[in-house]
Parts: sequence; structure tokens; C-alpha cells
Amino acid sequence: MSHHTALSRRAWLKGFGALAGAAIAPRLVGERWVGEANAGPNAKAATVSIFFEGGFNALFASADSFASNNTFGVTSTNVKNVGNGLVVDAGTIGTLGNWALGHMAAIGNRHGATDHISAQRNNFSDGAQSFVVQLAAAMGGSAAFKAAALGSLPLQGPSTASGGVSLQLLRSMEDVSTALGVGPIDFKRPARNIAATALARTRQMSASALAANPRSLSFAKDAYDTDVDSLGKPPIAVDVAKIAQAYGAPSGGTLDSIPAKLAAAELMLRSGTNVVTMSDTGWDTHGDRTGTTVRRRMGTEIIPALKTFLARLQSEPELSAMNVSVMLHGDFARSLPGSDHAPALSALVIGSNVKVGTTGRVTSDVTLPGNPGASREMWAYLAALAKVPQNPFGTNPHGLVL
Amino acid sequence: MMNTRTIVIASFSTLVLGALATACSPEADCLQHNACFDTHPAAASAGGDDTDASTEAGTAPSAPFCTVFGQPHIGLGGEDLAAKADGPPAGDRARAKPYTALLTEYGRVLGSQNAPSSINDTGPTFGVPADRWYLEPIASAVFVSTAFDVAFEGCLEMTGAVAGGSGDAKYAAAPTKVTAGDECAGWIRRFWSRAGTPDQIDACAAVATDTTSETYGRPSVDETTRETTPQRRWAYACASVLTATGFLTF
Repeated sequence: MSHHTALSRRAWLKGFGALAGAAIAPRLVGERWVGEANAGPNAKAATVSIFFEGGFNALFASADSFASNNTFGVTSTNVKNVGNGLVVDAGTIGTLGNWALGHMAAIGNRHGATDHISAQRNNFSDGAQSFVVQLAAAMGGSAAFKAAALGSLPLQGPSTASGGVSLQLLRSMEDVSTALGVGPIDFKRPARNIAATALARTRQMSASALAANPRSLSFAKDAYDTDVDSLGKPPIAVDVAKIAQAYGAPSGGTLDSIPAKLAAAELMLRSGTNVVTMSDTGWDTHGDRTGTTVRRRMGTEIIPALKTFLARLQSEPELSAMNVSVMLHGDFARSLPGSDHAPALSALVIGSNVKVGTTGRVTSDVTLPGNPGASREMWAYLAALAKVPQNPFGTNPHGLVL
Repeated sequence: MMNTRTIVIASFSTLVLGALATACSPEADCLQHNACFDTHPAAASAGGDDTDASTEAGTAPSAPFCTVFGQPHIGLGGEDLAAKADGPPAGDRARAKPYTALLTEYGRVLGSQNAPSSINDTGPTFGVPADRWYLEPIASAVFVSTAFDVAFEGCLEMTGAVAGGSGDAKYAAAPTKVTAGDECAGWIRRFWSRAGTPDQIDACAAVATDTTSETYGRPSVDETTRETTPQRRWAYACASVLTATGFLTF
């Protein structure tokens, strides 16, 4: 009897413990689980493109390709096997944390260009339409700024509006604040409701010019449309300075660094933006035979801020409820032996719906075997990750989708 | 007596002029026969940008232009750097004013007393390039909304809504359809250097007459709504004209 009672008590205690454990588990393991649980199948999707102007060395996304010949300084000890054939550079990409490494894929892209201008253009457009704008339009939603390019320079290639969506350039943190309508009440500035009305009238005043200059004033037309839409909506409640501080970025000034751009990206995602692009310059690393330069820059200038961004995607309730994909790509991979221009690109994608694997494993001489597709197919993959109702790029050939 | 140097210069000039004449043969004919008719099919329909009311009712522009292009010039990136854009005069080639121009433009049209100081802090938004670089301005959404903010500051000073500007007393009276129309026509003429069409004047006047209440802040947080003073209503209308393509582009 007592034995039975003791067992019952133990069983009861076990049951109570299990219930209590379930209740407090999310707090004990951190909010990462909460985030994953919240990003359901219908979660708001967003895509962030981090573009390395000059090139994105395949040692990051296809490290094992270089291990046997020890090219680009790759050895068997400085790579990390993520699984399903995906092997990354251990000291940089390999440090992004368990969640990122469990939701990461390398995507092959043979866009066919080995000069910078064409390669950059090919990453973002088919020569006529912008992949960024097309994806942002396919994602839908009600944000006024559905596609945003962060930084001083616009993307290469056309950014023609599609489906009422245009790509808006935001050059500074002040631009981001303006776009979001944040800031204290200031009667020296126009009231938001009147600014919306007045700019609608301004658009009327400009109608003949916009009609007579459909190409050269396409940006202006998109600008009036975006402003009238944006100013007609209430501003979002967000603390720009606090978010910038989380990235170690200033709360004002131009968006020159990846930390500042990722802080700005977070702000835009919070406002409902679908696709955010940013680029980092100086990755045309000719002569970097051992990969020392790109590893150093990746490790010091990119990875810390990217870790912050990815961690906040899990820890911030508003962000953890979203399905965000982050793509690291560049003009092309770097060739051997001199780190010149390779006829291939192995992009790296991290996101809630990414299945670990690779379609971007390059050969030891930095070419892509098989037919992984080009940029359209790469963006088709991103659209598949975003679970858009209709993929604007056709069938996604990269099966690495959860 | 011509020396060798003169002969060389004269020969070179003849060659250059000959080449130009070959490249732009229709214009050469036109100029030589002193009858400048533009036969380009698109030219006749070129209303142009923000058509001046006087031009709209009058004749189409008929400036000569090249129809034969020069040789391609392939740059290091494999791109042809030679300009190829063609089209009618005042055709699809509008450009946003660069920041360096905007720095003085507001003061020029509003009066130096009313020059908005905020323009000095907005270089990055308007795309000011780094030293020794050129960057074609892009009229993005924040470019336009910041332009509206800057214009509003100057217009507040001009209408006397804030101290420090010219503050004409006439703006103390609330705008009516008639007074707003008159003022808007004058602003458009002054700010755009051309006359406005009736639709453009009406659009401006509507801003002055319709903006009777201002709402600031975030709903349920710090939102506040108040009546718009006459000076501020005039300022909104003034800023709306200064944010149109007629002022921001050329």
C-alpha cells in the first residue's frame, strides 16, 4: 500500500514536473523555440539580400571543394560539415549558431557573366524586370515600402515597378525614420494627414510630366505613389535608437556599414517590408589566393552583425513570428589560383523554411557541375521559401525547402 | 599668308565639321538651306514636361537633332559608353535636380529670408555624392517626402507661420478658392518658371482650401489633432507646388 502510495506520489510528482517543465521550457531554453513555433506556415514572409560587391568566394558555401588541394587556405580542419553535403568555412559561416546552421543551404547560380556590371545586374534582374520587385510584389501585404534598397547606391539593372510595387532607396537612418514616420511630434514639419493629401495633389500637378517622361521620371512616379500610400498610414511604434544600438550602429547617418544596414533592415521588416537589399563593397579580392582577406573581412565586418540579426529574428516576438530568409551572394565566386572571376556563384541562404543541403557545391576549379539554374531560379527558390501563392519566377528547381 | 600651324588647324576643323555634318545629315541640310523643319516623327507630338500653358496652346517645338549616331566606345566592363539616347526635344529625359542645385533653389524662389535651413542637413537623402564622384539623383519616396518637409519649412517662413521669414501679412487671411487660385498661379509661375495649367492651379488651390485640420503623432499613443491656421494652410499649398516635378526636375 505504502509502496503503491509512494509510486503514485512519484508518478504524480513526475506528471506535475512534466507540466511545469512544459510551461517554463520556453523560458529556460530561450526564446528561440518560441520563435520557431510562432513562424507558422502562413507567417509573414520577408527576404533580405546581402550582396558582396565584387564577389562571394565559394570557400564560404562550398568549403570542401578546396580542401583536397588546400586552395584558398582551406584544410580539413577549418571547415564545418553542416550536413546533407553542405560544408562551410568553420571560422566564419560556421560560427553563426545552431539555428542558422540548421536552416542553411548553398544555392548554385550559373548566371553566365564574369564581368562585374553584367554579373551584378544578372543577380538582380533579367535585364527587363527586377527580381527584387517581382518577389516583393508576389509576397503582397499592405506595407507602403514593399521593397527597399539600403545604402548609397541603387542596385544594378532595372528596377521597374511591378504590380504596384517599386524599389525604394533608403540611404541613411534618417531616411528609414522618414519612411517609417517615426519621431517625436514636430510642428515645424508637415502633419502626416495633410502631407498625404498634399502630395496626392502634387502628383496631380506633376501628372503631365510623369506621362511625358515615363522612363526618366519612373522613379518620381513611384515615389509619389509610395509617399501617398505611406503617409496615409499611421506611423509604426518602434525605437530606432534602441534597435540601432543592438547592432552597435549609430541611430543616424548614412547606411555605410553592414551593422547599420542590418539594423535598418530590421526596422523595415517590422514595418512590413517584403524584400530588403543591401550591399557591401570591396569584395573584388584579386590576389587573395589564401582567402585570408575575405575570411578576415567576413569575420570582422559581417558575421558579428549577422549573428545579431539572426539572433533577433528568434528572440524578438514581432520578428520571430515572421518567416525571414537571408541570402548572402555576390557577383560570382572567385576563381583559382588568383582569386579572379569564376563563372559560377554559390549563394548561401538562411531561413525558417530552408532545408539543409546544397545545390551550389562547386568543383575544385570553381565551376558548377550540372544545371542548377541561374538567378531566376535562385529567386524562385527564395519565393518558394517565402511560400508565395504564385511563384513569379516559375518552378523552383532547388528542392531545399522545408 | 597662312603658316603650317594655321593650315593644320584649318584642315582639322574642316574634318571635324565634315564628320559632324555626316553624322547629322538632316540637320546639315536644314541648316544649310535655312529652313529648320524637324521631320522626326516623334517630335510633333512632344508636349514635353509640365507643358507651359502658353506652349500647350501654341506650336510644337522644332529644334534639330541628330539621327545618326557615332561609333561605339566599349569600356572596360564591356559596355558601350557612347550615348545613344534619342528622342524628341523635351522628350523622355527629365532629371531630378541635384542636391547642389537644391541648396540654393529654395532660397532663390522663396526669397533668401525664407531659405529653409533643413536643406543643409539632408545631403544623403538627396544623394549627394562623395568628393570627386558624380551620382545621378534618384527621386525616391524619401527624396520626395524630405523635399516636401524642406519646402514646408521655407513656406512657413514665407507665410509668417513662424518667425524669421518674410511673413507677408496677406497670408493671415484664410484661403478661398479665388485667392488660392491666384496665389497658386503665381507660385507655379515663380517656382517652375512657367505658367500652370488650370488643373495644376486647381490642385494647388485645393491643398490650401481643404487642409483645415492637422493630425500629428501615433494613434492611441500621442495623437493630436488641431485646426490648421491660415498661414499653415498657405504653407502646405506652397510646399505642394515646390514638391512637384516642375520644381524638383529639369
